[in-house]
Amino acid sequence: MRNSYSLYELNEYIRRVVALNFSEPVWVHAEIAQVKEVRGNVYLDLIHHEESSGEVDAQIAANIWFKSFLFLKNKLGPLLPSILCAGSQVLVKAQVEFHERYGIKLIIEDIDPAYTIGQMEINRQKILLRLQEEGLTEKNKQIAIPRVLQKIAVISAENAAGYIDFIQHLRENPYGYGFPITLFPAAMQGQNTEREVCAALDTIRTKAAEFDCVVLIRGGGSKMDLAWFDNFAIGAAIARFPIPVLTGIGHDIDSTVADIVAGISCKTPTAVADFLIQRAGDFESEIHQLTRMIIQEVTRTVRQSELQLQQTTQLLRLAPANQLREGRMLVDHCLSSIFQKAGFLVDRHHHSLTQFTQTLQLLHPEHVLKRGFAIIRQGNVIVSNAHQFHKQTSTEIEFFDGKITIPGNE
Amino acid sequence: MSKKLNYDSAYSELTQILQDIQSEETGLEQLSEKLKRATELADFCRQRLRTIEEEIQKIHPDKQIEF
Repeated sequence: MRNSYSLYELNEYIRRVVALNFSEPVWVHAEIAQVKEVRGNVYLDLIHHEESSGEVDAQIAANIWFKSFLFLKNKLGPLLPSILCAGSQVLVKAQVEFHERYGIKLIIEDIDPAYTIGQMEINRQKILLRLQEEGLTEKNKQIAIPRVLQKIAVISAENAAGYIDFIQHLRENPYGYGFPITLFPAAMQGQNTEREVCAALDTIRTKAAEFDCVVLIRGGGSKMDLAWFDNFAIGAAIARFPIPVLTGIGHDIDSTVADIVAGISCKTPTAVADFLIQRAGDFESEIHQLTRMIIQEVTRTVRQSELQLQQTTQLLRLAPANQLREGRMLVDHCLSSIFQKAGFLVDRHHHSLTQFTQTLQLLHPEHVLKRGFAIIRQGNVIVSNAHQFHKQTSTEIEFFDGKITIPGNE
Repeated sequence: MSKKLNYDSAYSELTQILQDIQSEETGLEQLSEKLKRATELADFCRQRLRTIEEEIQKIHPDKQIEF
């Protein structure tokens, strides 16, 4: 028989080698593959991925004993459960231990949360870059948002405070608007978040025509709680969604990948509710304003028409009267002109006749004889020139006051 | 008076008489005849105007027309 060790001797030797070489704890960074808590102790599997292929090329079991776990709970508070979950990148301070029967194991004494947060940020940036490269960042924002978002598909956890706040805020809107809401429940943190949110989006997509928008909400939480929305699949599904997606995830300072690709991103679930109410309110007040403008315009037009009608009626009322008055005046004037002219005509004839009569009277022989003329007659014939006069014949001379006879020389 | 006489033809004839008298084409013998005719025409015109006025008032029983 060759010289050999028993397995115990070998393992004991290995334990001593390990103990000698890892006398102090070391800082190790790895990804948590699995985690479970049993009676205050935490059991984990830590892994490492080969960078190009992504295959697991290293793995080790790790424990957090009850005492260290208490210490970490005090130190990290609500951050701890977010860090201690599958998929998390962690930097741990661990003692390397080898046990003859249970093999090698890391006993975790401390955790550096800054590393996990940093890794998450790096992951987030990678996702954002990929979404941008695939042209998805602005895709949902390019969908025209209806004037009123009323029929709402909500993705949230049923009993989450954020969801309850959202519902209450919408119900108590001061205008009394009704917002029909359909909840599509999904995990809002943890490993199921990606699968359940994507499934909810898929379900809504099949009946997208029934909704005006999708609202994705969860209340505040630690940065790591919200980091479940720094997820490529969720981001891409939101970006490609056929109707606008509104997000209200976490607190004022948070902006997850889901927020960045969403059509509209509000800070909190309540802010989403405010946005929806405000939008409906704006629309209604615009309608009121338009109604007022239409009424004003119609009233103005009617008043103008009334005024025109009144003016026209007034003119119509006066026009026939004026025409009749004018007719009467013309007839009267014409007739009086005729009579006046006729009067002139008759007068003129009278005047002419008078003149003529006067002339005739002047020419009467009696008047002529009175002016010293005499009529000379010889044998009853009027002698009107010297040649006719015969000296021998008796001559009768008639004056205005009598006749004389001059005997001839016969 | 001709049966076809209406306001316009009557008024037209009346103005024609005026023109004739003004141009002194009318002899004295015709003058009284013309004046008689002119009086008839003027009476006819006045009568027509009165009738038209009454007709208008019938059309507007609320007496919107102001005479």
